[in-house]
Amino acid sequence: MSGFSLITDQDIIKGFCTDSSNYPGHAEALIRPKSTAEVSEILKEANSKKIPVTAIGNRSSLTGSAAAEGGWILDTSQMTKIIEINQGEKFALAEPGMMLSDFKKTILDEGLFYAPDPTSEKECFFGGSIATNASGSRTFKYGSTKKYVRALEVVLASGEILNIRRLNIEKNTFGYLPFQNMVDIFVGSEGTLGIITKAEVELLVKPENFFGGMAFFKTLSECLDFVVNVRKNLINQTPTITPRAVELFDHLGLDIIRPDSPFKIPANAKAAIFFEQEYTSDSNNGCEALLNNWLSFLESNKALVDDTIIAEQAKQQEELRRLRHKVPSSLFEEGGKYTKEGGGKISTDWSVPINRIHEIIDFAKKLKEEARIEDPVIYGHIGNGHPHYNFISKNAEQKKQILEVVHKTCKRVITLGGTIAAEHGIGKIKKDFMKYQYPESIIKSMKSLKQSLDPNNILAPGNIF
Amino acid sequence: MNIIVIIRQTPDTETKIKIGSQPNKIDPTGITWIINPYDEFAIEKALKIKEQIGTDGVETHCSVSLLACGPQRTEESIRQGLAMGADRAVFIKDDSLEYADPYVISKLLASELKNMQYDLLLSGKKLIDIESSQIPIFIAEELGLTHVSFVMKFTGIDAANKKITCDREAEGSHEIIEVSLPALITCDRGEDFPRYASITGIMKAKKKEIKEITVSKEEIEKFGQRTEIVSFDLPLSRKEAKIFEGEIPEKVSALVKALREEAKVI
Repeated sequence: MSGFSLITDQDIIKGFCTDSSNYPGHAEALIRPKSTAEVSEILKEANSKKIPVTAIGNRSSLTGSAAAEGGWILDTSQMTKIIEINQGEKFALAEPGMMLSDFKKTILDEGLFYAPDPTSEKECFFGGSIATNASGSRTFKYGSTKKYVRALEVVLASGEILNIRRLNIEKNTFGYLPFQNMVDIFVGSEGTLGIITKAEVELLVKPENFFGGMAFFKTLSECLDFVVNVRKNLINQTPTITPRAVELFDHLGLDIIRPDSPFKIPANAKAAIFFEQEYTSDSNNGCEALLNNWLSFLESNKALVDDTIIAEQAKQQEELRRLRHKVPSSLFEEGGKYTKEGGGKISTDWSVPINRIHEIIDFAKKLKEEARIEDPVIYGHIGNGHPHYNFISKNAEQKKQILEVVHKTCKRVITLGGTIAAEHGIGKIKKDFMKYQYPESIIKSMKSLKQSLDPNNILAPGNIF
Repeated sequence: MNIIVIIRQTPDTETKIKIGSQPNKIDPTGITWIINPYDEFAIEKALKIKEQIGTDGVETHCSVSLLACGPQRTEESIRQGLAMGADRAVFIKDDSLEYADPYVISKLLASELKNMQYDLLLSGKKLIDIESSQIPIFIAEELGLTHVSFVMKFTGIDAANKKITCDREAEGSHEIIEVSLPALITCDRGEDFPRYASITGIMKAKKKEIKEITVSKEEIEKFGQRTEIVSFDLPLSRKEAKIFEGEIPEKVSALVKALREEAKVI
C-alpha cells in the first residue's frame, strides 16, 4: 500500500455515505488526503485497481452526487488552507476543504468580497461549491460560482495534476467553444472529471452597505408581477431599484417561518419577497434615495407597503437570511420522516426565463390539482426565474405520483426555454431528466468527454450518467 | 399616557473593538453604532403599551418619546427608534459627551426630564458596552421617582388609575410588582423581539421632530465627573487548542498523557 491510509471501519464510514438528498450511498473506505500530491497518489492507486472514488465535499448536495456508490470516499476536510489573498489583483487561492462561509468571512475581514452565496454556505465546502457551480440568492446580481473561478488545480483520474487558467481575453476562436475555457469543463462537473485541489477565485470590492427587506403580497400572482417588473426595471438605462437578491416565499413558506419570525407576517399575505439592496454614500445611490425608490416601486406593484419591513442592522439582516434558510432545512427534516416508507422530500430545481414564470407556475398548479397531490412549498430564487418546489411524499405511491407531475413540469420547462437543474446539478437522482434537455447525440458527446478523462469510470460513478 | 424611553448608542455586538491611540479610548474606526439592545427592548415595550392603550377603550392617547444624550452620531439611532414607531425625540447633543461618565449623563438627562411631561420612564437594564446599569437609577434618584429594575414584561397597564404591573425574574421565581406612576423602569428582554422598522415607518421617521438641546462645556463640567476611565484592556485571548495528530490509538494515548502530566486533571 502507498503512503496514504484508508479508514475501513464501517461505523465511521457510514456517517459519510449520504448527503442532503438522503440518497443511500455505501463505500469500502474513507480517505482524508492532506495535499494535492496525496490526492494524486490516491487516484493513481484507485485507477490502477479500478476502484471508484467519490469526492464528497461537505455532503450538502441535494441530488445524491456526494453519496458514494462503492469504492473510496474522498474527504477533503483536511485541505483547508487559504494560500493567498491578493489585495492588488483581487483574487484568493485556496484549498477545497474550508467551509464556504469561513472562507467568505476571512475574505470579508480583509475588506474584500467573494460573491457566490449558496443557501448552504455554512454547510458546504469551498471546493464543493466550485464542483457544483453553486449559486444562491445574490446570484440575481452577481451570477453563479463559475463567473468567479479564475484558475484550478485538478487531479485527473490518472493522477495527473492539471493546472488550468481562464483566459483573460475578449476574443478566442481556437477550438470548440465549450473547451476554450478549460476551467469551465471542471466547474460544475460534480466530481466526475477530476478532483479540485486548489482554486483561484476572483474577489470584488466589499459593497459599502446594504439593507435587507421583506415585502408581502395578497396573491402569488401579484408577487410574480412584481418580480417580472423588477427585471424590466433593471433593463432601463437608470433603474430605480437594483436588488442583489429577490427571493420568494409562498404562503406555505410563510407558514414555516411565521412561528419564530421576529417581525409580523400579515395574516392576509399569501406570498412575500425577501430582497437585499446595496447602497453607497453617494446621494443618488444612498440609503434614503433607494428606500424612496423602493417605496414607490412597491406601492405601484401592489405590495402591502405598511407591512414591508426593512433590516438595516447586521443582526436583522442575518436573521432574514436565517429565515430564508429555515424553509429548505425544515422541509429536509420533514421529508426525512418518510424515507423509511419510501417517501421523502422531492425538490425541483428548474428555472425559466422570467417572462415565462407565470405560465410555468400556472401549468404546475394545474398538474398538481389534476393529480390531487398535496400543495408543494414554493420558495427561492424567483428573481432568476428559479423557484424551488418542495413536495413531501409520505410513501412510495405518493412519491411516484409527485415524480410524474415533476417530469411533466420539466418537459414544459424545456419548451419555455428553461433548464431542469439551475443549481443543484444532476447527481444520481436527476439522470432520467437529461433526455428532456439534451439530444441523444449531445449526451453521447458528454459521455465521450467523461470516458476520455476517466476511462475506467472511477470518479464519482453514478453521477450525471 | 406619556412614555419616555431613555436610549443610548453602543457599538454593534459584532464590532471588533480596538483600543485607540490613547489607552482610555477605543478606536472608533469601523465601528457600527446601534441602539443599546436593552434600550431597544424598552422601546419595544413602550410601543406595545401604546398599542394596548390604543385598543383598550379607556384612554386612546399614548405617546412615546425618546430621550438621548451623546455625540452627533447618536442621531442615527434616534431615527431608528422613530422608525420603529416612537413619536418624537429629544436629543442632548455634544461631541464631548462621548466619554462622559454615567453620573454626568444622568444629571444632564434628569435636568431635561424636569422640563418634560411623563408618566412612565423606560430604559434598558444596562449598557452593553461598559456593562453599566447606573444611568436610569441615578435619574430615578435625581427625580425622586419609584424605580423597578430588570423588568421582563408588563402584565397590567391601568392608564386611568396610573398604575402598571411589572414582572421580573428573581432567583428562579417571578416577582410581580404593581407601581404607581410616574415611575422609572429598566427593561430586560423578556419575550420581546424589537420590531423591524417598516419602509413607511422609516420614511415617516425622517419627518418626525427631534428637538436638539445643546449644552455648553461649562454645563457639562459643572456636574463633575465622578469616575474616570483610566485604560481599556482587551480580554486575554484564549490559549490555542492542542490538536493531537496520528492514528486514533496514538491520539488517545497522547491525550491521556497530556491530561495527566500537563493539565494534571487525572
